[in-house]
Amino acid sequence: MKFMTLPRLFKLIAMIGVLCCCYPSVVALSYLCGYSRGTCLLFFVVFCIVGAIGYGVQMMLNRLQTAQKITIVQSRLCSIVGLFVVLMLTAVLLPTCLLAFRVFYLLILAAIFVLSGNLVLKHYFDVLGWTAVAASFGGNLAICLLMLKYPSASNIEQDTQLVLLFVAIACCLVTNNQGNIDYLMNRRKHDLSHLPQHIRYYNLLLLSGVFGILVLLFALRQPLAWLILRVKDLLMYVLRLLIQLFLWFISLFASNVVEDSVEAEQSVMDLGTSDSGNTYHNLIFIVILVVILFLLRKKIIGAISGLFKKIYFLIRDWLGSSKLIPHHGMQSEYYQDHIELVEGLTKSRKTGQSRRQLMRQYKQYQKLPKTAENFRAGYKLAVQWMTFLSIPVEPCDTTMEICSKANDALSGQHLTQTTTNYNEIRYGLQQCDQNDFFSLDKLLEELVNLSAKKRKN
Amino acid sequence: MEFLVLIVLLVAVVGIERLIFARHSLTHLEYTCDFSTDEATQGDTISLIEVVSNHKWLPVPWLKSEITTTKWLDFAGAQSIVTDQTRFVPSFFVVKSFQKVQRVWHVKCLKRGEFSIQRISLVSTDLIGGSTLTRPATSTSQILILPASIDLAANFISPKYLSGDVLVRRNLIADPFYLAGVREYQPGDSMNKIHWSATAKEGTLMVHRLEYTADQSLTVVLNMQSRAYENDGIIDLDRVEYAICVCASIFDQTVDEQIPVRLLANGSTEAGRTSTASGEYFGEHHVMELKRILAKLQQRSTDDFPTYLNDQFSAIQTSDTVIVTAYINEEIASFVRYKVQSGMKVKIFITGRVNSTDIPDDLEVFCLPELLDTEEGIA
Repeated sequence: MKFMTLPRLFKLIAMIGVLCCCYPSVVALSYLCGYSRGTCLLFFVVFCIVGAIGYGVQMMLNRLQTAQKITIVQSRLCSIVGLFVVLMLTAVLLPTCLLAFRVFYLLILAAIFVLSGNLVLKHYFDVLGWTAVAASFGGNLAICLLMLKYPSASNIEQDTQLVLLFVAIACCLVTNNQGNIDYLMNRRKHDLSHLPQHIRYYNLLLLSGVFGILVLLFALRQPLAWLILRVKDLLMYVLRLLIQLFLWFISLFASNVVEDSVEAEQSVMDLGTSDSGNTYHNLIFIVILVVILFLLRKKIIGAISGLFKKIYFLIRDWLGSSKLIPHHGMQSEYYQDHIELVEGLTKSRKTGQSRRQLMRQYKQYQKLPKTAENFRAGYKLAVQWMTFLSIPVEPCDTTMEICSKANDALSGQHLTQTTTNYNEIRYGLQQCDQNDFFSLDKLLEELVNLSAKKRKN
Repeated sequence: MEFLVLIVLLVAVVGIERLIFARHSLTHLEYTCDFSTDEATQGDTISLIEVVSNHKWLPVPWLKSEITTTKWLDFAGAQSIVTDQTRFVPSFFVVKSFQKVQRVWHVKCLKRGEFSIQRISLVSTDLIGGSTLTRPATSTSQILILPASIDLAANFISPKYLSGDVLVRRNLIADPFYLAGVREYQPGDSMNKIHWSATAKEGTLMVHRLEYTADQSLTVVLNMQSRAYENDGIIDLDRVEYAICVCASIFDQTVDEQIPVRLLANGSTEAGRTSTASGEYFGEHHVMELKRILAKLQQRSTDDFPTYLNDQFSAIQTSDTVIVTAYINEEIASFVRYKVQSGMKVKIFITGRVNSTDIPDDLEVFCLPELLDTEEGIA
């Protein structure tokens, strides 16, 4: 039987997280009693040991009915030895303290012992939540405030607190992520054994990426702060320029009406100084740059994405050519997976034209006179809308094939009528009338509505 | 200050993570679910193919597709949840960036019928569990499971072993295309039947001996009622299903002999109360069409079987008739007697439990030995 199952491992991680969250309270307690930094850490170690003993004892008590006698004896012996160690440590640490503090300390130990024992009965994702992390943050901030008020408290080591806080965050992320998977499985009463194991590992990998980003951002906080300040300065500069431009523009009109306005003259004089030319050039340049960037944003994003995609596939190539070849993924008793790489959906492949372009064409179509030529143009537009809505219309399809393919997505009445009308007009060379356009207009309206729904979804 | 920065960063990272996953987790994610074939036979193992393609940078850390289909398509074993008529199968995926995962389920077709994937829903989540995303997926894939054939000779017995002379049908006019040999000339034989070579050899007039043939055709009449007094719903469903398999086996037997065959049934392939009557043709394609009709038969009867037989009395004009039914009573036996008296060869296959005393002695009846109650017990 495997001793360290995944839930046990995650519960251990959650317990570590809880203990890390408790550290600010230990620091505050020891500082108030005038202990040194080293003693503070010793207190923390003692608390951890007591917590572990409380957890272990409760776990063994739960197993009394099923466990072998030797296990029970071992667990009791461990508990006794652990308690003895704790008491010895306490004796070493507390000889100089007040009696009230000794009692308080022992009460805390007892509380930790009992609470740790209670955690045995809880699911691992109930042990550590964001509330505990937030409380830890609160504790750390309180200590910071304490340091500001009492300079003597500056000997409290902040690095340890930060490291433990990061550990608590990491533990919380892990338990939340894995707990979420368990919750989603349990919600529909799916057996956890049916969950492919690599899903957990891949989730942990992604989570480590998120945590890595957090650590990286924290490590680069100073350059980032500098960058943010520079961006802020730039924005303020642009804003100032815009205000100046606006004032100058107002002053052009104001100077004719209120000739004796000193402020207006002053502002004009300000703008007419020697560096005003540079200012305007800068302003115009920035405005043009912003406009160009805005207009070309999709192309720029597409180009950057394409570049990254190429790099990504190159790295995959480099890591192992076998990964590019379709390979068998996970195999189960009931199914077999087959994995291969795909390209991203390009604009032309998926839609042909964007919704905005199609809407523009639709509005143009609505203004056209009702002629046979325009009926054909309207039908073509309808087919483009179908392509946009992912109806698999191929260039080689006949009108009847298009009709049958789109029949599931659309209400058949207008589609069939439009197809019949189109065939008569296009191939029967008949003239069209208002009635022919009625079904086409309705069809286009339906397609536009469908695309709007798709957009909302 | 560091703590404040860390709080801001933590809130920002967690918030952005949730926002990104909530907005983009299920976008550019294509999902299809189809059967490997649109037609199979009962007992066959086919494939159900799920394809998930992720056409974006953002990986999908956890994706579940819940497939709802009929319980008669057996797959996923213990992983599936079976209710009255439905089977729910959860399928868990992890799809990385620009990756396509094709999952092939091995599906065993348990029963004949026309089945489809009723509903699929996709469920995804973000990394930390702040949001659960759901999207329905559609599948138009359908499969028609044809009834399986069984070995009639091995499974059925006739409780009344006929002995003595048996009347056989014989046409008045011999078939000139079927030669059985030569014989001596008899008065009345036409001159064009003389076999001149044999005459020369034997020294006396010899003529061709011809076979007597008749156009053989078969009508299979299926009773969709499992008991004599039964409303629309079928009580002993498995007996009627077995009767359908018997019909399929009979159709298969006609393929080699190229016998024209037709199907009549007091059941419907659609929602209405129209009974089923096929055309009379022969060949493999026709038999496949008949099997498709059998596969599509709804699990209810449209008419009381004796009434239906009487209604179809004039419509049944083939040389042979097989009645496949789960029970037999006097009304059915009377109908068969009428037909036998008019020169038709009629067989009855009983797929339900029957007492040997209820089986008429004068009719050709076949039943399942394990369901035949005799005076000594089960045969």
